[in-house]
Amino acid sequence: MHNAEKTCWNCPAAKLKGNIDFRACGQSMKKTLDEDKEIVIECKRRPDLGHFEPSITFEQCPEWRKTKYGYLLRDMKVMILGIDGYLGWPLALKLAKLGCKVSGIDDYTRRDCVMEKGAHTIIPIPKMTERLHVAKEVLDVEINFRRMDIRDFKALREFIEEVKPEAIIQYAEIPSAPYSMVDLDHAVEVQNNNVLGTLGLLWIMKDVVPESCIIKLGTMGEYGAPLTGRPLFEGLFPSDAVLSWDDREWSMGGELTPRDPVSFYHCSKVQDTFNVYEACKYWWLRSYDIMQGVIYGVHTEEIAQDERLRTRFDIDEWFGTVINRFVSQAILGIPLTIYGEGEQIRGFIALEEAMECMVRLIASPPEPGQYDVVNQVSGIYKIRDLAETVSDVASKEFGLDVKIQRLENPRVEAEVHPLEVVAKKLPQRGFKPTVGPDKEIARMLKLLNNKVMRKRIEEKKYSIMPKTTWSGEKKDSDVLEVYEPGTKQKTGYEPRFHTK
Amino acid sequence: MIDVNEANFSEKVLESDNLVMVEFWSSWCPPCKIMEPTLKKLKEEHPGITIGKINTDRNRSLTKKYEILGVPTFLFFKEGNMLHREVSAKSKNQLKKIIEELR
Repeated sequence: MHNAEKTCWNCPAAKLKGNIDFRACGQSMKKTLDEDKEIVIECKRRPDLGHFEPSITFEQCPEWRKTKYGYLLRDMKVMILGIDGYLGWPLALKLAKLGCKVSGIDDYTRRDCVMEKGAHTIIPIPKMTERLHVAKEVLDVEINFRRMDIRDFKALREFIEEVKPEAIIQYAEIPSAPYSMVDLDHAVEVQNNNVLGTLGLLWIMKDVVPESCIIKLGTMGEYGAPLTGRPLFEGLFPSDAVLSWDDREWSMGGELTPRDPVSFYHCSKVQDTFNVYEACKYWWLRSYDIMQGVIYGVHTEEIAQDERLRTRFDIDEWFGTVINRFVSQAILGIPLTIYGEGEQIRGFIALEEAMECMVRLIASPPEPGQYDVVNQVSGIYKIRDLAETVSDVASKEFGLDVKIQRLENPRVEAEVHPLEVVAKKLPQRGFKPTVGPDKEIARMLKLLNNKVMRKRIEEKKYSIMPKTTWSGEKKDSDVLEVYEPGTKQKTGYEPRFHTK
Repeated sequence: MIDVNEANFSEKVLESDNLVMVEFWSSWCPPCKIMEPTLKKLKEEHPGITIGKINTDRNRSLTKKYEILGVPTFLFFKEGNMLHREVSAKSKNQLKKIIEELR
């Protein structure tokens, strides 16, 4: 088990007592030098044990029990902010099935934003009241839901005080680069919701549940795609990275790596990164910042059990992620739309894999004050290669006739660039990719390639084509080229990926 | 790498026959957390030295005794005497150079 050796030091049920001081690296600790008191802990679950050294391992502690994802705190209280979303709902069901006490909030922002576009989720999803009812009926789990905006800090504080979560998943952000580039109002709303929502959460956690772990969804897009090809480390430089200048050398170990966001949405994520980093430093909060790759897919074990448990599936230009859009286009016979050269390389992860990774991280909390970063990707691919993969699966397994089209790129981004990604921390926590694009694309086609779903895609197919440009112009992108899959030579850079 | 604490400090550090490098670290310090692979590599390349880690938050007396004012701090000991002090994250080459000078 990947987390067997972790101790009370990592456990959110352990309340730190004694000589705690909040300092930055390199900050003097003279004030506390006069005191010799060591840090001890009090177990919130077993207060009868009194104060003791934080040295019991998860393997030894009866409160932690074995699951297939590692030791997990018995009846662990996990709060999911944004529980109605594409990720929030499947994670809630997975955790609840594992025995966690799941609570969550949502104000249906995602439903409203997609409706604003005039689009809808291709897979119909019931209202939250029915979702909760079906979860109980089919999976026999109960989820404690409150409708609220994350920025209603009074209500959020009251809910956190009531539940006292031992892990908080921050999914309550608007996850769309194009949505943030529509106009002034949209850019402000994205940054307001994302940055201030998370900032408020951090202050509330400091006051109410400082031992709880915040797992906050960031994005690989925070790093950008450096043309130098320097590796994208997991948030912080490794210890052997050095800065050389003027014939001198400094270690960069532990410092935040450069960020180069590619939209105002990505800027909000970078601001979050700094806010979470500082909160860990000032208040000993503990955090995983998840740099998630582009997500795709429709399947987890739990949502597949009843059609009413399925998660949303968006295809519009604002909220549809690229593989999900490709699959919908393949079903309708619309040429798959790649932007510009299509040589953009990105990290990707299937929904099912992402959910597993989240559970593994919840089971493996960082230490007090530790800001940790995880690159949550299971593979890195070129966009044009993924279009080929979708074409291949759609034609060979489903008999669909697929073409690919290149559009004028509505974004400001490098279209041909190297990309080297380091993603070692999830494998260290026992994660092995088992899905991959081929398998998940086949699952998506199987679920969506039927009369009912085809009709739902057909109704909203106009929303797939990009109309939001980074330049601010409101226009359709010109079609640069339409071509048959398998007719293009391999060009550009090969993705490089490190998992060991 | 040895987990050094108040109880084993004398035995593992002061009474060691080897050159000993100890890192004072904290869980809230990103440069400290990130030093681990470098220390492992150093140990592989220099099996004759002892490398230890002391958690400052859980070993306050040692932290006070050796006047650790910031983390990470690396102290180098030989035959019970402290020979050298380095503050802040260091590259493997920087630590290697110090080790070679002190051996």
